[in-house]
Amino acid sequence: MLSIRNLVKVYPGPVPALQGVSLDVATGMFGLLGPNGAGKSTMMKIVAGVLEPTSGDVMLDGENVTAHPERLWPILGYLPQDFGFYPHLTGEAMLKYLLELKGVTAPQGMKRLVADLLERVNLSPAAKRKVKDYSGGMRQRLGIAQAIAGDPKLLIVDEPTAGLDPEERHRFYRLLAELAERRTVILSTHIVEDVAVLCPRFAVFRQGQIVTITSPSAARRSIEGMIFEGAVSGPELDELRKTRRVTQAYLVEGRNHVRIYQPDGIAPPGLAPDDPTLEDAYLVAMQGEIGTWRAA
Amino acid sequence: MARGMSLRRFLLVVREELVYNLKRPSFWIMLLLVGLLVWGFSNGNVRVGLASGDSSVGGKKAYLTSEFALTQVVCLVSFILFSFFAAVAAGLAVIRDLEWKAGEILHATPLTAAEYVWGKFIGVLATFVIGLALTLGLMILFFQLLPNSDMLETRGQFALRNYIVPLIMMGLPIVVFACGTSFGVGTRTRRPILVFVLPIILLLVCGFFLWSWTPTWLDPRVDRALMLIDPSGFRWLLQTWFKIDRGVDFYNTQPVTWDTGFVLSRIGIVLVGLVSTGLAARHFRRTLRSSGKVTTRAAKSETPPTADLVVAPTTTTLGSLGMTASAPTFWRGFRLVAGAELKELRSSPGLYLFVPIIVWQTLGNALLAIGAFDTPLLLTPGTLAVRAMGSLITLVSLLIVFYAVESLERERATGFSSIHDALPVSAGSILAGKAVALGVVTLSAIGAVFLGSAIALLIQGRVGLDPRPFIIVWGLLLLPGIVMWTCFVFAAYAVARNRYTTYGITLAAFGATVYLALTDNLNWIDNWPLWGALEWSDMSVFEFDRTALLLNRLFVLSLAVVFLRFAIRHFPRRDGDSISVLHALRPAELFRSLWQSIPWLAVPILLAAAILHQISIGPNGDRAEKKAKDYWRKNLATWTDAPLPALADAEVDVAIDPARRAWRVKGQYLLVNKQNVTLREIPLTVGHWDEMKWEVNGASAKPDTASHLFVFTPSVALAPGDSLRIGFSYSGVERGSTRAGGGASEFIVPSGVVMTSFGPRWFPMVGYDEAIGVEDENRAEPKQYAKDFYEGTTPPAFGSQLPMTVRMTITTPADFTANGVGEKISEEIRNGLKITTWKTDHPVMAFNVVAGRFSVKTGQGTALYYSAAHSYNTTEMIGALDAARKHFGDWFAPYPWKVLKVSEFPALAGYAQGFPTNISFSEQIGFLTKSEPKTNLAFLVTAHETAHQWWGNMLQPGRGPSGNILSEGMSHFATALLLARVKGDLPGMEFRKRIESRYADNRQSDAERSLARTDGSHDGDETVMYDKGGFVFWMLWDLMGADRNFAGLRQFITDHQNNPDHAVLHDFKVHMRRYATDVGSYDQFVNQWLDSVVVPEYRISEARSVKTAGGWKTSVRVTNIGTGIMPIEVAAVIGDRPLDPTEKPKAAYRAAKATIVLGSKEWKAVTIESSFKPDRVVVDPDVRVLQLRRAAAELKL
Repeated sequence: MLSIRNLVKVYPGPVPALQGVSLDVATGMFGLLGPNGAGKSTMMKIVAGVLEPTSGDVMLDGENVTAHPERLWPILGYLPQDFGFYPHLTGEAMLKYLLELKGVTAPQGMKRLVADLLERVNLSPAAKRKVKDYSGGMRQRLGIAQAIAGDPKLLIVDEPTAGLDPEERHRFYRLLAELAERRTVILSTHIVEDVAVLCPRFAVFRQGQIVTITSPSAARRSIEGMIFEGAVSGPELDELRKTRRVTQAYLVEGRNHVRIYQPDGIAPPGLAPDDPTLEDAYLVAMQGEIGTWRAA
Repeated sequence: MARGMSLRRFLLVVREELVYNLKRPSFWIMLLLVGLLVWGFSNGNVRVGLASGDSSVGGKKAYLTSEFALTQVVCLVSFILFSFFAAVAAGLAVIRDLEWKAGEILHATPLTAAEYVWGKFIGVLATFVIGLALTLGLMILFFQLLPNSDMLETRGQFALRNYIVPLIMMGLPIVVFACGTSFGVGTRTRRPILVFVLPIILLLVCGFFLWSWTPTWLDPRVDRALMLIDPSGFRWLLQTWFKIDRGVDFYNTQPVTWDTGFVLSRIGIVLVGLVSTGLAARHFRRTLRSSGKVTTRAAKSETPPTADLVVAPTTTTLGSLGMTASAPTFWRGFRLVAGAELKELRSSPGLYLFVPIIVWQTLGNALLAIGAFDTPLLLTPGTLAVRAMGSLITLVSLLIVFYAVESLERERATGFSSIHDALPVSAGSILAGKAVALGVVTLSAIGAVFLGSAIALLIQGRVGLDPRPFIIVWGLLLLPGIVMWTCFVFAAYAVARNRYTTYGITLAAFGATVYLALTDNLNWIDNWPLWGALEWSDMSVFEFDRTALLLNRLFVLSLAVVFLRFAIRHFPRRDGDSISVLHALRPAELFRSLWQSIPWLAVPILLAAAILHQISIGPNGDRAEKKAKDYWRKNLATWTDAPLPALADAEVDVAIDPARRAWRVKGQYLLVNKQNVTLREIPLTVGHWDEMKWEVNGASAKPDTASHLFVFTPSVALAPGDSLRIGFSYSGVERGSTRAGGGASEFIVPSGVVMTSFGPRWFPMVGYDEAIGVEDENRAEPKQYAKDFYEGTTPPAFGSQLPMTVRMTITTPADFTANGVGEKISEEIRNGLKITTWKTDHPVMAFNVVAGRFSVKTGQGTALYYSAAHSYNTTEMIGALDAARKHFGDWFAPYPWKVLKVSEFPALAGYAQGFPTNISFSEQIGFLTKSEPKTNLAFLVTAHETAHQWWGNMLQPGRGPSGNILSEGMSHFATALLLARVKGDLPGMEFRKRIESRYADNRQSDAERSLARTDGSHDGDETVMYDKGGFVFWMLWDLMGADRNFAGLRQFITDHQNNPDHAVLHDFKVHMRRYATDVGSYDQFVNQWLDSVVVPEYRISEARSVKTAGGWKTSVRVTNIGTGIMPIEVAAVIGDRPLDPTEKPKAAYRAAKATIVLGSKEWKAVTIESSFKPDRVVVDPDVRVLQLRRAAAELKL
């Protein structure tokens, strides 16, 4: 069990990044969903032991890892949001180096294990290329390979799907889902789909605070019957923005489509009821409808 | 610049770069340093090294505001400060954008590569041009405007030209060069480390080589080339305008004349900077939108970039891989990190660049070492190792600063830290791994220097390669310093947590060590690089100060442990929580850490205490210094110049225990009152001895020691002509260590002994020693002698009042040979000890003991005692001894003693002393002189020291001005004669050229006085006494003729032996006049060369040669732009006269001469007829007249 208690982080300025976050995360996948700058990465860094909090504690199975991060690192898999590698090493050499530093072993030997991991992140063909020649997505996959290596008790992945194409994203989902069966995985993302696909529970972050902790289905249920969708003209969209709570506005084949949150469930003229998505729920929450979720 | 360049975009880049740099703290720190330096110059605390003038009270002073002085100031300020800061700013300009990842966005705009690169460069350049302008303002403010009454005599009239011209000629080219080259390096390599190290390397090359390496034998063409390639221009300034001192009047009033070659070189320096930038722009443009070159091999082996689109087949689950993980052990982590660091290093171009530079710089200094009289030294493994150590540790330490910081920053710079910091590998493993990689850097540098040394020794071909000295010096002594320094850099990084602050801390610490070294304040505690502390001796390997040296190395290693522990504890594995600077400094945490470190500090504290104890009981310890100061204070007024009895006979039994560095003495002095007053008290100065017992005329005596002078009051006062015997016995031991090492002139060490009667350290000294207890703060102005100071009885400059007899019995270990003055009358082994008795067969003025394990080479009444390993020059040296004994005996006086010995002593000092019959030579004098048939240098130094048997011993000079010239000048003169007599005229001429050149280089024209008034107290007096004195005595010999001159000299020595009135130059010139055949010429010569200061300087112009019926007629105009009037030969010459007798000349030497007499500023047209076609005209071809810039008095036809 990972327990986070009253975590506060203030950056020079002073800029408050976390304002007393408390959270309990059990085995399995847990998502942190929030916009950029909400404090997700700050919390991930603190949990990973690479950033000192201003106050508060992080406990893993009763061990205070804030005070002794070195006790966490041997059982941690960590994929930061921003990272790099030694540019002059090949992908294979870099991963081997990291695995050795993490003390990872496998019956088939290090060389085979490196090859297997690279295969899982689809980097086998580029194993011999220098990391400096990798694309952004390839670097991300190499980061994923090192994070999932070993038998981490806690896996922290910060914006892991950034830069991945759809195919790779789904491959990664499968990897994470498998890993989450026997350990705690914390996934930080601003992509709602990541949470929708992977996380049975997640927390929504806004301005350094947890807005709510829920599950995707509960979040969707909380706004059931309150989402309406339809095609509108440009002037109509402008009018709706002024008078209604537009959760999403997007183009389909060149025409404006709009989704509106209507708490009273009465359909606005020209719009039809639709099943709520997790994105609707998230955007509603971001617009300040916290109470709705809590009620759910 | 590229086509289609937009001035607007270019100026935008310039403005952005300029504004950025002007806002950087480093720019203002540089200006602050400039301000401090200029302020230091203005108040005299910092001196321009080449200032002319007379430093004595009332002497002429050089203006700080003259164009010459300001050129020096601008040159140094620009090169030391501007070049470093400008190089760093320029080198990082493009790298910074890449690190900020701003490049891609910038280059997606219409901005061209040329606009970008040149804009960046001009922006940085403009910043530092503004800096130069502000420097100009600071100089005017401090040098002219701010009141400073102490420095009024160094301020001339304000002239803006004096400030502007040096800035344009020196400052601007330096800045353009530094900016351009560094910009090129940074832009092409994109490696910050190369940018940081480049200016350091430049500074070292200039400081340790280009500015300082000017041996007298350097070919003028090489010298000129070095002047022109020196980017600072300082060598040109030094060699062109200051090598020969032109006097304050010249420097204060004349503008600097910039010769064409130098102006072209300055333009060249600027062009190098601009071309470097241009090449960088081209490179940048080529690489901007490409991924760089792809080698054929790489192209074949690498998978195309589409690889990331390949979809991998579905595989088994992760669980099937069976992975387990456990944190790596310390050793495994260490091995992994070290391996990765080494791979990084292997791909680092810096290593391949810096190691050769270190080799070149280090060996350059070591190989070019020069000894006595500017003679090059023979290299031995030990001397090479020690001479290279200072440069090696300096350069490697600086390299380690940059490599360590870049290594520690690597994870952050590559973005890898966010993963790396959360890995379970320990900080200890990481630091140890990185340290090992740095160790490889160090060992690479040391290995490369060793290889270079081995090659140098092989090329030299005279000394074998023995690795042991290298292992001792570089392995046991240098490496602990490097280890400590590496740990210190790690600790600094752990505190600072960023690249620039770490640089600041470490370079400040390094600078503080340099400052302590320059101000002579380093000691065995803070001298971690051992700068100047080591003296290598093949005969005595670090026996002197060995305890302090060992403690120092242990102290350094214990500090390394403390720093390493601190670094491990504070190594930044996670970002701190700080909202202010103070918060970020974590003072509470640091203090807590320091508190917890106290047990770890115990070892270095104990070692430091042990070092302090060693120093405190040593010769420079507080107790010894207080005693010396008390001695000076209590006796100065009473005993200075007090009448003393003469030491007529000394009987001394000295038992030496070299292993314990102890000695025991029993003996007696016979003192005779040769004064014309009765002496009631007889003072003796004694050393730091134990168990002292005294007798007067056989009865036990107790001297008055209240003033630290041992004053004996005989029951019956000593009337003129009376005598008494003072008996003594005592023991002594060499305790403790010196304050900072660096050797000693007299010593007892397990492998050798040098003891003399010149001071009271080993034997009682009659009278008060004016040198004891005198330091800078209580040093008196030099004594002003009356013009007729030589009237009456002149006391001796050194040694006893009158020659004395000596009998010494020396007890040493059985394998030692102990040499004393006089004749060996017995030697026996008793109880495992050797007992040797020496007795003078003719009176002497001083005595000494030189002992060691010697081999012996004997000649005709001569003997050479030397270390068996140093036989390189012994044949030449014994030849010189034999020749000197024979010819000096013929020319000056028969040698009165039976044997003439030279004994070698360990090179804890580099001097030679001509004690009667027992000359002591350091290893570095003669024995390790690099001597070749054409240079005769071992012969030269042996001849000079042997000449002191006559000029110094038999003729004991008087105290006061010109006295020492009769010792040193006459010895040089004797050397010139002996070289010519034994080796031929050409070596004689070469020797005269050598001493003439030394005189020209080292004289201080404003402080120089006539030979008759030179007393050694003024700047430049040494070269006047030795070199000018030697040449002038030779010219006098040339003028008088050998027979008349030798007759006069023989009688002069005869007259002054056993004479209480010791001779000075006045006595010499009066005496020699009697032997002059042409008194008028003699008087004119003496008036010019002995009683005045003149030096001719000849120039040739309008030379042409035409064929005549009988041969060739050469006409030329000769001008004396110097002073003095001398007959001078002008020769039309063809062919060469090689110095090496085995070398065949390209063409036979022939010369047709004409003689003219030229006064100061006079010129004459000369016509020379010859039967051959000359190829050049030479003034004074046979080196018969001392002159300045002889090389300029030759013209090719």
